[in-house]
Order: sequence, then structure tokens, then C-alpha cells
Amino acid sequence: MHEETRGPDGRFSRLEAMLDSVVGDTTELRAYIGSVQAEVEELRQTVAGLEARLDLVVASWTAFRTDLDTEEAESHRTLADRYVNFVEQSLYGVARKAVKEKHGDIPPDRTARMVAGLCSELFGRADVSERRVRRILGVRADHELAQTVQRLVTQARGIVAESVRMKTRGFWEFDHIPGAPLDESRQQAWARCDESDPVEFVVAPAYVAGGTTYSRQRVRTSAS
Amino acid sequence: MKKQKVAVAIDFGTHGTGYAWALIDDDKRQVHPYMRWKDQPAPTAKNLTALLLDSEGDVLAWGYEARRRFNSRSAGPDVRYLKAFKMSLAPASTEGMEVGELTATSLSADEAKNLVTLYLKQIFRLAVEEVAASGFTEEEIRWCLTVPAIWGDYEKQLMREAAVAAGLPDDPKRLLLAYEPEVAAHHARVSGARTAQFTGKRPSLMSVGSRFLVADCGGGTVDITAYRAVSGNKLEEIGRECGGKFGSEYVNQAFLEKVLVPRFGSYDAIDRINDQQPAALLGIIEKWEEAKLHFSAEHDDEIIISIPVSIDRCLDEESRKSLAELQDGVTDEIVITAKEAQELFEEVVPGILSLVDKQLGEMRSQRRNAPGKELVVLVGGFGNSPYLRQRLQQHLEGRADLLVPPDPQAAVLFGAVHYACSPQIRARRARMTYGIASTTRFRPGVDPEEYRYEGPDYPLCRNRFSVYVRGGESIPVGNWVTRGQWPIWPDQDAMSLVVYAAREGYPQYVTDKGSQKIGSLRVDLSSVMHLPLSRRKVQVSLQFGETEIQVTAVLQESGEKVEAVLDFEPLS
Repeated sequence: MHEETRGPDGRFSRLEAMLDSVVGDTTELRAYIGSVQAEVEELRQTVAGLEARLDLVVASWTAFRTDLDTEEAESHRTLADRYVNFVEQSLYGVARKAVKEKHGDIPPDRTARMVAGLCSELFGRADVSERRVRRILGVRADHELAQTVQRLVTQARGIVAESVRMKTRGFWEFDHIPGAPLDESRQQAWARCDESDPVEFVVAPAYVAGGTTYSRQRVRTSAS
Repeated sequence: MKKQKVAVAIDFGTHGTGYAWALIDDDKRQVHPYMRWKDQPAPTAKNLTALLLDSEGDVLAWGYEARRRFNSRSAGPDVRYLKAFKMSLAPASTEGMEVGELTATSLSADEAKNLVTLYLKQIFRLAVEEVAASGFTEEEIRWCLTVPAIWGDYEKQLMREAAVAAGLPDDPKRLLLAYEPEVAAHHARVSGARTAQFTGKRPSLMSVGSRFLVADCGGGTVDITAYRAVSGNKLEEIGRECGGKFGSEYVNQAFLEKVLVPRFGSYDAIDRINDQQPAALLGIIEKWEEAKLHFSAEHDDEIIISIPVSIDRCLDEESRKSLAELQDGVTDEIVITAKEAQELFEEVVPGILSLVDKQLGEMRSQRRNAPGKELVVLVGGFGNSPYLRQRLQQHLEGRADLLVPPDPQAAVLFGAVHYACSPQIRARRARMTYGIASTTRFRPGVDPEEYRYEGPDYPLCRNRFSVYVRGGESIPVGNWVTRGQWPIWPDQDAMSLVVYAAREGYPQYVTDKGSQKIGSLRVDLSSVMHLPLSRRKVQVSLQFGETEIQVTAVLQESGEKVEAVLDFEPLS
């Protein structure tokens, strides 16, 4: 009768060997997973780096896009609003008073010409003069409107100074062709003028900055 | 979820709506407002909040284009022109005198919500197109939509629903709702707001601990909120928000009723003119709108608005007579004296001053009346008004300094972009007291008998108000307030959690005056029915501090988070 050998050096040594093999495989697997994880992490960082560089490229492209507005455009808008109100209320108001005093009533043509003269002086010249403004209004230095003139000149200077301070400087555009039809893209009829009549003269210039018209020209039109 | 790289903010206003965007990680943070709306009279960051709908309710045009087509009648008959519909999302007025409703705002909240959706769809489309031209996808956009601070949870929920229906993401991390005065405060801090007196002294908005009040004066509403600058460039809300319908549109309404109607003779005359020459009549009101935002009480200058020839032709003898009588014979212009203009402003200014006083009082009591001046920051389109500024300055003399950012009209829009790039608010004050309806042991001689009922072990009292957060309490943003709730009965397989809000700070019962149900959720307990009652605890958490309240319920034993839907209901 043949007896199988049992005990630590027999069956258990076979089990031990199998266990050692499994441990070895597990260790190898762990090391492999570790190296794969390290590679994945490296890839992640590379991708993140590439993404960051791409973001920079896109950001640069966005900064150079010419079809986008900036916060400064909003600043030009508010300045244009201030300018328009200055012309349509302040300048028109004082012209109206001056014309009424001189003529007894308020002929639209005369007031329009007076406002045009004021705008030309205040926004068409670098050397604005209170004296010339008073002359346009037909008032002397001791007239009750003289103080108003002083205030208006100061306000106009403030508006111009603010446009100069902008990164993209704004300017006032007087160009027009007398007798041509009103160009709605850059002109609008002054007060009660008929927009279907041809342009006679510019009452208030347009305010333009960076190729954008923030306030159109106010033009007097006339059929004659 | 893709990383958000672009922040787009939408300032949805009563009168005008605009959007602007910036790259989130851009060091220079260049903000791009959109200023090329179709048919705009001049470049502007806000399009008109207006829609032109056909008989089916589909959008024919929006913004300035809608107005042009409606006034020129080029869209044909059977069209509806709607504006100022934001106000109809929150029809209940909050405080202050009854100024009266704006025209064309008699809509239900649902109708208003639908119109908001239709409008936001247009904005969404434009914004995505513009951002896509830079190479970004829709998924890379984080959106921010502004809402008035005085809006309740229900109105904010409606706004979010409208935005999602318009295409904006249904994800609170990608669609932020920001309070208008809050983002305006942030913009004021970064834009270099100076004192209205222009002393050259830098205001202390940036200093840690500085406390300031923001008065956001827009077209429809005026929102007053207070903040404190805390560390890390963040803001903490202090005081209690308040506001009312004192926006500049009400001054326009007064102009129509107290200037135009008397001068043209009657409401019928106005109706006739509006019928025949709507664009021209609108032109007069717009001229008033422009002039009023530059009107100052310092001078006696009149405001003069030409009457277009087209309207002149509509005037009958009675109208001409009225004009001549009221204007010393002048019939070709509307001449508004300085006194008349002041009276129109005074329709709303006292209400605004009263709200500011209320908030200042709250701020003062918080610092226990210690000496010192508060800061008041004025923003919003109406904040541009020199008259309003002067009245506010006079009113605050000796009590507070007035600060105005360089462009108060754009403060909300630009501020919202910065907010979307990095939300700044660290903590908020709870608008009201919030809690859950619960049942506790009955207290004889204390609890009302009608609330008593027999529980499994002892008498119970229903309708108790289990407070989670008290009104005025400062809550860190993102903080959860959690309480445990247990079912009453062994065979109870569901729990109904009803959330209440109360105006009072210490409500005892959910039936107290000023207390109202604002939402509810249902928790299914079937998965824990095998456990004893004591182990069927539900952790109910309310997350405050964001613009809305989020509610979750978790079965503690299993860790299972129960899906719950919380519907806000309008406060009466």
C-alpha cells in the first residue's frame, strides 16, 4: 500500500507556492496600475496645460474681435446722451430766449440757425470763446443771459474734455451736403422739420467714436 | 460638466434689457456689452423690454424693432404689443404709497412668465451666437440673471422657470440669479465710485468692515439693500431689503397724466393722437424721458419738447386752445416749467427717500447707534437723474454720504458679469422666518385646544411652526440648516413636509397672522417601514443664502436622499 506524504512539506507547500504566485501577480498588477495612474495623471496635466494655452489663444482672439463692444462704448453712449440733452434743451433753451427777446416770437429758422452757430462754436473749435457765444446770441456781457452763457461754455468744455479722455477719442462730425436728402443712418431732422425735405444745414453735429455714431447729426431741412 | 469659461449676464429690466459677457479667467476681465440692437435709435446697452406678437402668440419682433413695427403698423392688424411685463411677475406691491399701475401691465403671473420666456429666448440666441464666434460652446457658459431684491421666492422661481424654458441651463451652478442692488454694489466697488460732492476722497467701499446701502432705482422698482464688506473681497448682506414701485416709469406716467393730458385737452385727445400717430406720441414721451434724466433743480430752465407736425395735424381747436392757455400762447412745443417738472419727480421721490431712511435706521440700530456716517450708493437708470441725486443728497445731509458710480445705468449689467465670474456674496440676511409645520407635545393652558389631538403615547399639538431660520438672521451662503423630523404613527408610510414663511421673527403656529405656506415636499417612508418609529428619522435641510431656498430630505438610517420637489407659492 502506498501512502501519500501529508504535512507542511506536502500539500501545504503546494498551497504556499500558489499563494506566493498570486501575491507576486498582485504586486505586479499594483505596480502596473500605479504606472498607468501616473501616466493618466501626466496626460491630464498635459491636457489641462493645452486647454489653458488654448484658452489664452481664444482670449487673445476675443480681445481683437472688431465686432464686439466694450465698456467704453457705454461711456460714449452716456456722453452722447449728455451732449444731445445739452443741445436740445440747454442750447435750444437759451437760443429760444434770445430770439424771442430780439424778434418777439420764436421763428423756427432763426432759432435753428442760432443753435447751429452755438454748436459750431462750442464743438467745432478748439478755442471756444464766451465772447463769440454772446455775439451769436446777440447779448452783451451785462445781459441777464451772460451768466447762462458762462455756464453753457463750461458745460460744453466739460463734454469735449470727457470725449478726449476716452481711450478711443470721440469727435463731432459736421460733414453734410446741402440740398441732399436726409441720410437716416447719420442724420435726423431737427425739431419739427420734415425729414422728407432736403438738408439745409447742420444744427448739431454727430458724435462719433471708433467708427460708431452715438448721436446722429440734427439737421434743418427745407423744401425751398 | 464642462468647465465654464464664459460668464454671460442678463439684466432683465422693466423698461430695458441687455446682456454682457466676459471670459471668466481673463485677468483683464474685459466686459463686452451688446449694443447693436435692431432699430435702436442710438447704440445702447439695453434693448427695449417689448414684444410684438401675432394672433397666435408667436414673436414677430422684439425690442426696438417691435416698437417700430407696431407704431408704423407694418406688422398688420391682430398684433399685440407688450411692454413692462416684468412688473406683472410680482403684482403685489410691497411698501410705500400706491402710485398706481403702469399701463399694459394687467397680466397674470403666468402670462408674464410666458412673455419673459419669449423675450429671454431672443437674448439667449443672440448671446450664444456672439460667444460662439469666439470659439466657446453653450456648455461653457455660466449665466447670471438679475432679479429685484424685493422679489419673493415665488417670483424668483417663476423667473428661473422662464429662463430655463427659454433655453438657459436648468442647473443652479450654471444659472445664477443675482439681486440687482447686490451686483450693482460690486460694480460700484470696482469701478471707482466717488462721493457725489466730488471731494476727491476715495470712498471706503473697498475697506473690510465698510457698511453701505445700495439704492437701485430702475424703470419700475426701487430696491434698497445694505451690505458690509468682509474679508476676501466678499459682501455680507445686512439690514432688511425693502423697495417699492417708485421707478422712473412712474414719473413718465405722471408726465402723461399731468402734462400731456391737460395740454392736449383730454384723455380722449390723447387716445385719438395715439390712434393716429402712435410713433410721434411715443417720440414726445421719449424726449421727456431723455430730458428728465438731465433735469436739475439747480436751475429754472424749462424743458421744451417739439410737437411734431404729424401730431399738430391731429389737434382740434380744443387741444390748441388748451395748449395756448397753459403755455402763454405756445402751441408748437410742450413747455414744462421747472416747477412742473419738480412736481412730476415728487410723485416718487418722497417714497424713495422714505425707503432709504428705513434702511438707514436698520443699519444704525445694528451698530447700536454708534456715531458715524453711512454710505449710500445710487445705481440704476433712474440713478442718472441729477434731480434725484440732489434730493437724496439734501435729504442725507449730515447723516450719510452719497456715492454714484461713473455709469449707474450700467452698474447692474456690468456688476452681474463680475458676479457671474466669481460670486461674491458670503452671507445674506434671511428675508423672512422660515420653518416647517410640525407637531409637538400638547402644552395645556398654552396651546389652543382646537389644535390638540391624541397621539399614540400622549396628546399632541398640530400646526406648530418649527423655525429653521429667523428673519434678519445672517446665513452663510450655501449653508444648510438641518432639523430632524419623525413620523407620528407607526403605519405612516409618507411624510408631508410643508414649508412656511412668516413675517414675524417668532411665530408659534403656522396659522399665525403673517405666516404663509410657501412650498411643500413629500417624503416616501416605505423603505424604512420595517424599522421602529424612533429609527425612521428624516433629516430635513433647508439651504439658505442663495437667491432661492433649496430643500432636501434624507432618511438618516439608510442615507437615502429622497427626491423632493418644492413648489413656491405666491405670498398674499
